[in-house]
Amino acid sequence: MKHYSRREKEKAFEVIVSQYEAQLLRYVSRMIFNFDLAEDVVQETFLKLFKNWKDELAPSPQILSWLYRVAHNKAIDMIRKENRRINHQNNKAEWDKIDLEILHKEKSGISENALAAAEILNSLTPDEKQLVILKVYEKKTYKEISEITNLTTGNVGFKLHHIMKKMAKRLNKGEK
Amino acid sequence: MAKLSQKQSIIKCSDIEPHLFDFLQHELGSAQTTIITEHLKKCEDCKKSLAELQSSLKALEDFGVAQPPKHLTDNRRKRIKFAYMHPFLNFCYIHHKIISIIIVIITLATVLFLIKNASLDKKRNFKEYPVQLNLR
Repeated sequence: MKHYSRREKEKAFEVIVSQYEAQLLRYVSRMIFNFDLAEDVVQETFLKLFKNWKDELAPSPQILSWLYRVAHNKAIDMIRKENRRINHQNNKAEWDKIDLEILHKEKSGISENALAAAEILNSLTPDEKQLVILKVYEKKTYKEISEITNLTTGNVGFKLHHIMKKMAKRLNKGEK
Repeated sequence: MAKLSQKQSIIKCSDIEPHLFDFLQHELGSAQTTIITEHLKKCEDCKKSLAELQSSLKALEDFGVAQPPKHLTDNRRKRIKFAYMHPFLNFCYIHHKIISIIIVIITLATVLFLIKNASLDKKRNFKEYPVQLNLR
């Protein structure tokens, strides 16, 4: 493990956080549809990075894949935690409100079709949602997605095809 | 080229359909792209499937989630930096409840130990020694 001086540590911190915070915030916001919770998740992700990363702390595809993986797992934990909290309070309506906060904020100026697509996206499983977000919004290649998700590139294509087909079917039927 | 067109003639929709999304995303090699392009020129069903995929993809793209924050808040940034620069202090900060309990226990134990020692010393100082007086 490389030993960093105080100044090097500060520089590494600034470079890593500045480089990746926007991407992670965007990714997690689309995963959990709530900005405050997304910030919590990204904060936890960086804390884990700086605690556990043993190699050189400089921007690299490996760090980015690692960050996406950790952010994804933490987002799932956050969704479960919120679900438990709301089930405990026996108040499903509150979860719907939290979950779709972004949708409703953005409702003006968006086509009905786009809103329906976003609601379908929100109803997918976290792993399905991850693939769609990485491909459609983050514009990652199958190879990059496979590095993040540990799936083979063939499997990424196969799964994405089925998810998109399912979405197209639901959109055509006018389901949400 | 002859080989390719021969191949195209025996290709079925069931071979093409699973690759339509890959085709849309330009994730296929040039040979496969050509085969699919040629197939699409002739096959209405696959063309329809492709249009459906394109339309759901567009619907998703149109929904640019309300711009998420581009940066973490200053407080969160400071929190991460503090944890990175001062891992020991951060550990104390995270586990401050347990650490407080341990400190209280240690303090109490020390005080009890000192009180016990002091009372022992007292007892020792006032120990009665038998004195024999020779009154002859």
